Amino acid sequence: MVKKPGKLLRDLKKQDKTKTDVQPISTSLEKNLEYIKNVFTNCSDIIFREFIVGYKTQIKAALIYVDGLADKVSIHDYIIKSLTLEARASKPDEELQGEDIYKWIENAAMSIAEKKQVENLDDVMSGFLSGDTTLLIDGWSKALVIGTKGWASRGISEPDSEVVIRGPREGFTETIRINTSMVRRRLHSNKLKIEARKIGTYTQTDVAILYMDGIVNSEIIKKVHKRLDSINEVDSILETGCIEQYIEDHPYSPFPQVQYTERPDKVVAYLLEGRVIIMVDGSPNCLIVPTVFIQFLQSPEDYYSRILMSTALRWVRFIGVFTAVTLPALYIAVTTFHQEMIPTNLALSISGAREGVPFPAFVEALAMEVSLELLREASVRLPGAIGSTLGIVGALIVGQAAVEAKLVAPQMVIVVALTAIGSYTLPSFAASIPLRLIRFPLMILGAIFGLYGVMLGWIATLVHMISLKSFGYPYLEPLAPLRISELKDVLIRAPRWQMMTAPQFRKPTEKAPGTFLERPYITKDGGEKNK
Amino acid sequence: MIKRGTISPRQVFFILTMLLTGIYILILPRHMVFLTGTDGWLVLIGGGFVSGVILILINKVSIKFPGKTVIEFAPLVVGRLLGKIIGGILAIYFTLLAAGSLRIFTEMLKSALLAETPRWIVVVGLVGLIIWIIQNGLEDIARFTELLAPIILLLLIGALIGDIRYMEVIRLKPILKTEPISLLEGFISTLSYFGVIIILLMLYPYVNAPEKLTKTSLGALLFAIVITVAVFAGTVATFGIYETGRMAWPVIELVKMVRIGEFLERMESLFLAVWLSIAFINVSVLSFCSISGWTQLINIKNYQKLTYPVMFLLLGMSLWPKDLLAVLGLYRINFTYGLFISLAIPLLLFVFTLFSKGGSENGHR
Repeated sequence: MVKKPGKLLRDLKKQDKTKTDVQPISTSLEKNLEYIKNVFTNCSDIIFREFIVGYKTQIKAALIYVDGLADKVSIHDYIIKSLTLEARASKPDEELQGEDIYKWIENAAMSIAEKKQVENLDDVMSGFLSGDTTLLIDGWSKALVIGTKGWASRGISEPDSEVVIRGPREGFTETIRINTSMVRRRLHSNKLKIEARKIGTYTQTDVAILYMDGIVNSEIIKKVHKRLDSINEVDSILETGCIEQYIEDHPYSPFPQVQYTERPDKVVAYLLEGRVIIMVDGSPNCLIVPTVFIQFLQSPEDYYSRILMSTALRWVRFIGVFTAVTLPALYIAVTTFHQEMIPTNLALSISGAREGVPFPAFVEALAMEVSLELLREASVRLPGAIGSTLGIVGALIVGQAAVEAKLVAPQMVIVVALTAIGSYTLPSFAASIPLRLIRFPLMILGAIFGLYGVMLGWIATLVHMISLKSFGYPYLEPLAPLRISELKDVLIRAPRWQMMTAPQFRKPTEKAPGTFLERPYITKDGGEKNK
Repeated sequence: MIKRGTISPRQVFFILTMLLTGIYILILPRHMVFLTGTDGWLVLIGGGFVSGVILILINKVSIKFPGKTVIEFAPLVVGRLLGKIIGGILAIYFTLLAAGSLRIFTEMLKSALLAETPRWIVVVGLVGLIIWIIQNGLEDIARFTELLAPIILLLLIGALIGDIRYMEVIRLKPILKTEPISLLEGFISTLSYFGVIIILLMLYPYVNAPEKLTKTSLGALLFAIVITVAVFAGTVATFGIYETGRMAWPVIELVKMVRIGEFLERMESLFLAVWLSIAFINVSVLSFCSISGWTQLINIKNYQKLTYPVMFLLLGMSLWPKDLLAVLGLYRINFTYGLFISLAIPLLLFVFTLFSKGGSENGHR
């Protein structure tokens, strides 16, 4: 990330020089069509439709569109029909001459909503390649790109990876326009800005940058644009993950520094906190920057359900994270080095169960953890019904058999199962990956140094996490550096009326929104307001 | 050079508290019991009070030279040669303190937890992490401290409260029956013990709100005095002076006695883990100060270059003494003569800044 943009920028400058001579639109329709047909030889999906406008002074015209990307009904009804049949029927009072004809065609003869004038063939081509239809007219050195985008897309459905019990069920789809519309529908504000750009020399992928003007810190916007500018010339952007790898601060860290989500309600909430959203066409995920670690422990549902419940759930997740990372290492360290910490009865039962197990605790744990990861990876790709069968076979039968065969102690099965369960308490799948990665080095350290090693591993993890930054913001933000006022959304989930204070990413000059430090309809002495 | 003005007064508060109640508190009760018997806590309060006065002087001097550490402004105040000597003494002092904390922690870990592991493995592992965080900068050290210090302090206070049932006030008596000369010696030791506060002279330029530091640092000192006195009094009240004097690690013995219910006992492993974080914070801060001290002393732009040589030196120094007794013997030098650094240097600088008006104008740029 640090070196690549520089190189890319240099390449960009080189290409800029060659790019200055764009192909102009010729006044001869035939020449234009010939040029485009030459460029798109062997492209069977590009449709050229030539027709004639008017009947006295006949003007040749041609439509170009990509079959499957453009909506054929609107091309039939609102372009061809308008320009041929209806144009003849609605004859203008006086005969039009020269430029006026083209103006009339552009402004008066078509009944379609979206159109754009372009002045060179490159724009013409990129126009119809993105699903629009281009209209070329003989004798006119301009062309019209008419909005007819319409392709088969997946319907809106509930995102599988971010299920909530209470809260909206819709998730983003693969079409960027539908996604932005879902955000706009929830946020009827003129402050919501949606900037568009194209990235990828071959794919020319549409990328949208969403933010709330006046809430967002303009430094973040600048940084996002700067980083996206630097990857303008990469070959392809297929998914948000491709962008994420280019723009994140520390690509070699196990911790994700950019969050992704499929949920429009989450996106709106983060927009209102002053963050920037990056959407990519072709992907139902969108990126949230800047991201702090604690975000991965928060679920949108926390904010919808009741206060005590969501606070308790937060703590369940903290315990889950701790379990997922440390429990096997702790078990190894305690049973190998610090047996005195275990209460006598438990120590006896552990050693009784371990009798006959041929391996040291570390090998036992490692084998179990590796088979757990195997099981997990195997079941991810399987369809639901088979997946659960695999879970039963893997977890129940293999686990039971391993214990009965005296390969592992039953306590170890409990530990490993708890680890897996712990890592699934995280609302975000992306955040459970680093926990899985860190667990193994911790286990090794625990096997070598005991508790000292586990603690050393934790310190190393913390040192690393503290050094991380996401778009200039410290990754452990409300915890280190400590911001006491923001802990009310970390350690607890404070009531909504107490959380309406300025979020951390707010523009420093911006005034905080009206704060409701009490419920607005309750008076100070506890009675209800009459109004 | 790392960016200055990046750490907050609250972070300094935690750094100072961690330094003052950190590693050296492990050997303090034993030393104090030897010198002053049951009067140790009175002496600690007295020494803490005088250290408070020194702290005010330190703040008064530092505020006159914004953006400069003591090693940079000392030559402006007392003249080039003397200033460089003071800088050198401080750099050596910080290096020695860092090496000492490292070794004391290692000894404690070895005796309580990892009896068979070779000493150098333990030290190298820790020093590796410390080099890492030092390369990341003081800001990261400060954040790390801020993240863990509250938890550490809570556990420490919790342990003290959990042990109250074993304490008996009678063991703290008699009061003021020690000979005056021993009391004086004890008093001098406490001055050296609290003398770590002169690290503030090095931290000042990195703080983003220096005007708040006087209050913050005094608060940290007060907090540390309370904890130190509580730990001392708690140890003596639990074990009595003779036991305390005979034990290698009275504070660890104290936390060993904590138990929760009937099933969670022998928690010292947990507390050793806590002390590992304390040692990590202490040694990182002290070695950072020593490294940046050396850097400024010999005028190098980038402190990162010096990290490896200084840390290797520190590693060697911490492994040098043969055993715990040798370490304690060496540290006794600091208990006796440390006040020449912790008391004399701030006093000297303060007196000189009073008389040289030029210094303050230079400082304000």
